[in-house]
Amino acid sequence: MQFHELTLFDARKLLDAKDISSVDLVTALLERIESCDGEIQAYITVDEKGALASARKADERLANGDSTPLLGIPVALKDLLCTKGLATTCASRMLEGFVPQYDATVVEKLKESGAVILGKTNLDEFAMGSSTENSGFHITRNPWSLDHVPGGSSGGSAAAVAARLCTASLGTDTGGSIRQPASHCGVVGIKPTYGRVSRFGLVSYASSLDQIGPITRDVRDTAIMLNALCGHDPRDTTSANVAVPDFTAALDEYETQGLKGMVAGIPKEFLSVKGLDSDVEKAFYHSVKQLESLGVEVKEISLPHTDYAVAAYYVIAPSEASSNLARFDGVRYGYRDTEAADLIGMYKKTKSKGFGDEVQRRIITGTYALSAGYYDAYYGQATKVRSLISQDFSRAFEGCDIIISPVAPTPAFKIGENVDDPLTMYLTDIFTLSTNMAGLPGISIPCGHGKTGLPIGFQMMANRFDEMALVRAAYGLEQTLALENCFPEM
Amino acid sequence: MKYEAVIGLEIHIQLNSATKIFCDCANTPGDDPNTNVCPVCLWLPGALPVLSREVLEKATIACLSLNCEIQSESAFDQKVYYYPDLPKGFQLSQAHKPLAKKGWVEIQDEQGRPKRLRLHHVHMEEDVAKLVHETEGRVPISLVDFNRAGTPLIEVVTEPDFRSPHDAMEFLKAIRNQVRYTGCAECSMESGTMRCDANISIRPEGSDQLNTKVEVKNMNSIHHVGDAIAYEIKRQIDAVNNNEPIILHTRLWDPEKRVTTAMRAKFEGPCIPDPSVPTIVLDDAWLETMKSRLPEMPAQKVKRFVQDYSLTHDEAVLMSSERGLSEFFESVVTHGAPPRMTAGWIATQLLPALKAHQQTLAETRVTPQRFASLIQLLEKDEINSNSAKSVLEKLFEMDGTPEEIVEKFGFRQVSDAADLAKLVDQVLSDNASAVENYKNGNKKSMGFLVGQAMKASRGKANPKLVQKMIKDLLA
Repeated sequence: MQFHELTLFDARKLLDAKDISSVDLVTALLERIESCDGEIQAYITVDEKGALASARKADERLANGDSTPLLGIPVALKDLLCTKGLATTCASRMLEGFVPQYDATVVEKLKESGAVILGKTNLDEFAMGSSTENSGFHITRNPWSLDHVPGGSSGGSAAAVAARLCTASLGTDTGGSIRQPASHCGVVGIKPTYGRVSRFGLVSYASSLDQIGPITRDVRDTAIMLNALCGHDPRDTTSANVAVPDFTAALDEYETQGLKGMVAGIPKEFLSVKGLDSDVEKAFYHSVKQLESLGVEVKEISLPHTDYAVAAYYVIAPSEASSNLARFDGVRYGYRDTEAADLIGMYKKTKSKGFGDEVQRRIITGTYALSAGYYDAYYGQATKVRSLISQDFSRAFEGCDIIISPVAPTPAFKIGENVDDPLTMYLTDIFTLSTNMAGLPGISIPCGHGKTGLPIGFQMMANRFDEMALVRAAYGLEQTLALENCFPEM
Repeated sequence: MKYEAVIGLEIHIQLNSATKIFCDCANTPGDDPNTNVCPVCLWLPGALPVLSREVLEKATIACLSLNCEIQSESAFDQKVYYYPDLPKGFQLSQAHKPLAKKGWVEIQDEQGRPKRLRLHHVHMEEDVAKLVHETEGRVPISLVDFNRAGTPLIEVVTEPDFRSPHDAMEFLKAIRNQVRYTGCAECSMESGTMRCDANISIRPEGSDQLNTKVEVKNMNSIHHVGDAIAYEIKRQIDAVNNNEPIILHTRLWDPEKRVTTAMRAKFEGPCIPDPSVPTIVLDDAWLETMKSRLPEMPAQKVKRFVQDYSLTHDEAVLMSSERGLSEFFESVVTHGAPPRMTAGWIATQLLPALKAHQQTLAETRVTPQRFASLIQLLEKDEINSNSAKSVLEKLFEMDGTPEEIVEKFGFRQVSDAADLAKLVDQVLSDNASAVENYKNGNKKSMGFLVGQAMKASRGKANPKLVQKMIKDLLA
């Protein structure tokens, strides 16, 4: 096996056994990036020098008998996370040249755990999109089929794991932005409970919905990454002060106890949506059977306000974005238009030229929804819907441990297929964004391939702070499905 | 037609917490520019606000001092507007759910009758950065100092209960005194730790309608607020009499020209609940703790001073006007000095002397104990008031008890009858014509004769005894 193909868990064993060095691993991945990323374009910035320096330091520590869970492991970060001394663009021209003076809390935590930062991955500008086609720099291609999108907005991070351009990566999920690209790229992605992971240093899109999570090759790696990322942070008041379990213990729980007695709910409203691809449906029910074979009781449940979720989400998220993105004014950092004659002109031209179309569309939508006279009808109404969606889930979890569904209605679509149709694009998030509205955790794991060979994901959702249930069930399904053909030929 | 003014005030008060409201930077905006800054108050991408506990406590205590109802739930909103002093593009302020509602402040109206002015609410918010306009060579440039960005403010929004500049000025004095009492803020309009905007409209006297208001800003003292309101009322009456419409807008007070000038149309941007600062939930136990930290307020203190120390209302108001002064007064009384004499001497002698020496009560050598001893010497007739003034001066200059100073400099009053009789005999024989005048009914001559006796004693004679002796001798 080549170094770049190693899972995090296997790399850890080999590093600790001194069979390989971190420099070997990082060098292999840098070479792989060099040879493959020209096609995929998963990365915006590759920090070759920094990565090798960190790898050498990790090797010194390993030589001294030191070991921490991520020591020497090469990871990639969605370029929405601030990295001290390393350009952070949010895939926006607006932030060209912006170099943060601080690390996001998750970046600090990864570094403390010994991880090597390979670079920053591509995304839809400011995480607004579902295909990574909205990047201000370049599109990212799906490693399974270069004329398909990798999904989004964490498309770069998902594609990088799938194409084996890093061992693991971080994404962010505001309405499905980790789970949907993970599904489209055939990798594992989890959005933890809102508050599980600190948002400090994550450039805000919609602060009440944003959450950071890992994208990995398999469920075991996800558990290892969660251990490194989760925990209360005094710099983010919304990060919850709750105990963090050892998520790898959920794997052992499956090994010793299986899934017998677990109850899984299928929301009837999800499976009756228009445009649900038959391959997706088939793969979903195949997995349901596997779960049943493991002793999981599967039953139908109802999330009655599902129909309103997309509309409410596309009021709340743009509203928060319109205010969060007000700070990019071209004065102290990033892009500035130099043609305008006066201050207001400079603001206008900077924003018009610095932000892409989708970002401008959402800022304008949000500003409208918040403006005097419309606030109650739009933002006020949407927050009520949000409460109802939360209540739907609370009621559902009274009768089941996890809720299961497809991740997206279809496998990855073709590049350019939906760019002129934002509404269709928005509807691809229908299965994922409810969990963001309710603050719940959700995981996407590969469950098969469609006729075209593109991967299909399976989603599991759990109650607040019950990631253990997700990891255990996802691990069980992963082991039982035992998919072959896990990675694209490259 | 006769018009009356309808006035409401918006008062920003900077709290004196150690840190800014959402980060750990020092709350000392006067330091060298851009030294008290971090990613949070520079509002850099990815940084998140974390509400300071101390700011919440001080804001709550300030609200309690204004008789407000503290809300069990309050929250911050993002108020969006664009200006270079706010590069984040929104200000964190409690627009929808303020920390406190209602509340009132009592003043005396022009006729001296008590008048209660109501507050609508009090909310917390962050201050913006400060713009500094300079020139670079001949090019005008604007610089931004972020030391002030994120410093904690409370904004007091009143009901439109004010009818005159007098109301507004008395209200500002009262609110300043009350909040200062809590020790949570300096409340100086001159240094900018208290700022006041006035919303003014007019209507026919007796009407209860609310007409289009004009906002007036940029008043740097309580007097400016009074002057600006008076000017604006007259301007609006003139405009209405000339059939000119009153338009909703903001005007600036120009203290040089003593006029208000139009600045901009009033802008209301979008506003959204801030998701990063969670809803503030206050329970009763916490509120009780805050209430226990609220000192006795001036109004209660006035009542108690009148009751316990038999001060007149005016004396009590004066002794309660500042917390430090009231504590000094009570401390002197506790050391055994008679209250009314103490109040009189603080007002007429100590405060002017402090001013002359450029000292404050907190730092002066004239401690309550020393001052009390001085007042007691005066009360027991051991020194007369002339000598007492001299002793007070010495208290500023040197250590030692007033008794020691009296001994050292020979200020003790002469009350010995034999000594005084000798002195009076001498004065009467030296001033025969004045004695004659007095006997002919010119009572003013008595003052002259007593004065001569005091002079002869080099100020140490007991003037009351001297007067009695002269009166008896010439009767």
